[in-house]
Amino acid sequence: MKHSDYTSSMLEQVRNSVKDIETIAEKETFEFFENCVPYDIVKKIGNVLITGCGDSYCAAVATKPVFENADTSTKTGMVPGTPTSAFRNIEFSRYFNTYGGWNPLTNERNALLVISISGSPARVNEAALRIKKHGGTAIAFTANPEGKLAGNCDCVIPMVLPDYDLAPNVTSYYSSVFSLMMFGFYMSKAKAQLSEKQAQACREGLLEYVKSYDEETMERLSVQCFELAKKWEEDGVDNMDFIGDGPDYATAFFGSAKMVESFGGLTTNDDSEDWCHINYFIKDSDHVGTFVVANEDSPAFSREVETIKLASMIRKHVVVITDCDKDIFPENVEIIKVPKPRSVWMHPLMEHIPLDFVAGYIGCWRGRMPFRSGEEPYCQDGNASRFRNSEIEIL
Amino acid sequence: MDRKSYDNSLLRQAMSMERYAKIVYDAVLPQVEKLPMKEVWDAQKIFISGCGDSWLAGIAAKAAFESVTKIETNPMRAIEFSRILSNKNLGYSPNTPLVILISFSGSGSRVVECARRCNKYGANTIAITNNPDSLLGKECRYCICTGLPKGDEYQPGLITYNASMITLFLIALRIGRVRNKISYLECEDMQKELLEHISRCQKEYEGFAERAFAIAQRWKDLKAEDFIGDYSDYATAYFGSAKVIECFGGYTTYDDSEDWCHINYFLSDPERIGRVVVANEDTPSYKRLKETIAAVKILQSPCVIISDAKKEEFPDTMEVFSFPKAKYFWMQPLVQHIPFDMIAGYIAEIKGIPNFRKDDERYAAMGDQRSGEIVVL
Amino acid sequence: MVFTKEYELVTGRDLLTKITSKVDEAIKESGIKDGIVVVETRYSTAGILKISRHGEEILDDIVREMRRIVPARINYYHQDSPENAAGHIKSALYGSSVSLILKDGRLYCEDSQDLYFAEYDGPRNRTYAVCVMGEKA
Repeated sequence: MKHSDYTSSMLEQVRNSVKDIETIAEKETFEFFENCVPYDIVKKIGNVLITGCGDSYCAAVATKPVFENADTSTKTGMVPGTPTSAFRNIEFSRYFNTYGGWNPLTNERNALLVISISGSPARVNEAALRIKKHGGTAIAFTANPEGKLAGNCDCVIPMVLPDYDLAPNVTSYYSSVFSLMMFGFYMSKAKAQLSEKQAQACREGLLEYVKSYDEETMERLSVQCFELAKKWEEDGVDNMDFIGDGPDYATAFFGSAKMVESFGGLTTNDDSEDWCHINYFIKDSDHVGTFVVANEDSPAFSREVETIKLASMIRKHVVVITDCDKDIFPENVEIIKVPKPRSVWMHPLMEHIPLDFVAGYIGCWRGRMPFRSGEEPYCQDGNASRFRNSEIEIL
Repeated sequence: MDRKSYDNSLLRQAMSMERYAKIVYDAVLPQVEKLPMKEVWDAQKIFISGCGDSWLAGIAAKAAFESVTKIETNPMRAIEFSRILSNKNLGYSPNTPLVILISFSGSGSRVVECARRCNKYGANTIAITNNPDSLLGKECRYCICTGLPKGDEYQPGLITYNASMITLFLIALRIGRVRNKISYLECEDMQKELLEHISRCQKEYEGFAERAFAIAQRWKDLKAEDFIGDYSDYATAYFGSAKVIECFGGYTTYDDSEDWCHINYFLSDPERIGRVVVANEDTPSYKRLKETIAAVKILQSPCVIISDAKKEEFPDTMEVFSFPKAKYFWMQPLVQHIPFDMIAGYIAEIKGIPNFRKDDERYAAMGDQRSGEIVVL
Repeated sequence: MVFTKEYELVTGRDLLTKITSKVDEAIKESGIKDGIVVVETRYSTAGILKISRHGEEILDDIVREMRRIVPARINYYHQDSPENAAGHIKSALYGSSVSLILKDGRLYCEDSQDLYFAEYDGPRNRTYAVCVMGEKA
């Protein structure tokens, strides 16, 4: 069987990602965001806090630079933005300012962007209620505008997601990343940190990047990932290790989560520096698959190249997801070449696609239900008790 | 099996923790007290960075810094600090931020890169190292030497991790005192308690070692270990995972109590994955941790719980390592990594695997290359 | 004869603790009716003050003015902590002991003033001593 003969809800989501993002983009214009969060609210935001569970936390890490506009070089055309922090959900809900104290002078300038497609997990609701208790603004990014989270927030960005059967979610991730990025441009525009023209250019640049994953590219990626996954299955790869820095760490983290959700694979993730200090020493290196996300314009690129060289000396299965040419990397490393966007911070929107393909194909072969649905003992604890009915405490 | 014949480095280090803690405390306190008031006062924000265990020491000390200094404190991965963090965060006001960089040897490229970046933009820097003559020691404005005797056994890092934490705690107390967030009396009591808590816990270790050895025999053939902890206890969880890799190269993963329910809950073969949860009674997420532990129970994973709560708080199928309560909650990370250090050390000995894959020459050959090129952005 | 008694107290932050009753107690215990009473603290970041009894606000004024005159600054040569460095100066300027006249078993200032232990770097565990010198009736 060839790659296109395999199908699953997850693979469908990956294969349709360009089309789906374009559909989302048609709706999510600057006017749309202005209707959801009016200028006067956005303008007073002095501190952006982003949180969510699992993939949503990855989306927060992935989009932090857009709000910070950390890269002030002319390359991105962006200007200094707003201080931004991405939080693990439990960290925001229970620990943020718990020990250090809230600052009454700046509390009302805090805006918490809470990401949850269903809007039902207790922890996201807890986060929204907490920021409101301390005088800040809660903004929900959810596909359930009538849901609990929407009700607990001051403003709602109603996301429209295409319908798919239960699967490790890819659609929800790229739609969260896209919406957050768009909201970042909109906020920068409202705060006069970007001109109308610059904000429009950012949006167009992003959509142009989405389009660069054209049919031919998607086909190439699908075939390459199919062959890679097949080889790893044959070679008995039983542990996967993901490496990425800054926003690319989000891609690494997301990729590792998809392997767990799709087939229960054992995974770990780290940055390119700490990997050399810890995960470098993982045993049985012939059965460990290593993915490194290393884009040419990443400030950590030179370190990533060094790490890849080290990995290639001890491991048989090293794969680099990159937008640069192969000759920089050792010969025994497999390169998955992805399109290069206009600005490096756009990468997290699409560069996870190869990882999704790998997770999707292996998921088909292993015959595991997504999220072990219906499998013992997992099903004894429905999602309800594990995260929907978790006790809410507002500190 | 006779436990005594499976002696190992981590166990020896754990057993001598009290002695080394006193050495570090005595060496560090006079140095910390010399940190100038003006520069301590000027710090509007604190970053703590380092590689591997050193970064984890920063996470472990975050709650202490926030509680005692009331200054925003950000532990940050070294590559994140040196390459990703926006310049806007550095040197925007005199002596701000205060950047604490940790490296036992003081020679790692990435921490030196962090220090040079701080110097370029005017941030204040303190090095925590055992080698004040190192590159890091020289690059930083202030250098605190941890004073550990040369030539003793420090690998895999346990004493060094504790030395970093003790130094960080003492720096936090100095800052808190200068900024009048803690009184003389509180400061004195906290300093005293640092050593006393370590001593109190040390009394438990002989019993812990016995149980750790029994667990190591049961866990030695498990597929992986999965660690769970929140905030400062996340450092303890992550540290445990790092020791598994360093000691015998085991497969590991780690997460917080919330995200674990969304992701790692779904790992295959749960009955072959050892779960380790750090759950202290006074931590703000304690109830969430208990919910997570209930989910672990459903999966029937072998589970170790590290806590200052009573054993009865947790399912009786789980192994609970109960620690004496610390007078100041933020001191718990100093000691709570010990049970899993012991387990990891014993598993390595039982399996006959040397630390840091010394049995495989491919790994040894790369030693020097772990540092790499310095780029100052 | 000379009679000395030591007292302990736990201070607060910037707190004036009234110790008049303890001084009276020491005087009574000594049995001395006429002479000199000295109250002293041995610490260099604390002091003993004699303050008017006319209105609580006087205490607030004194604390505020002492802080204004000797603020907790970061540029003292003594680098323990700003509070501590300022505390040493306050103690030196405002005094760490007072001498009082004892007449017919009563303090000469008894009708108008109270005695206070002044903490400049608290909270701490402190002690002070009351020494009564003179003749028994």
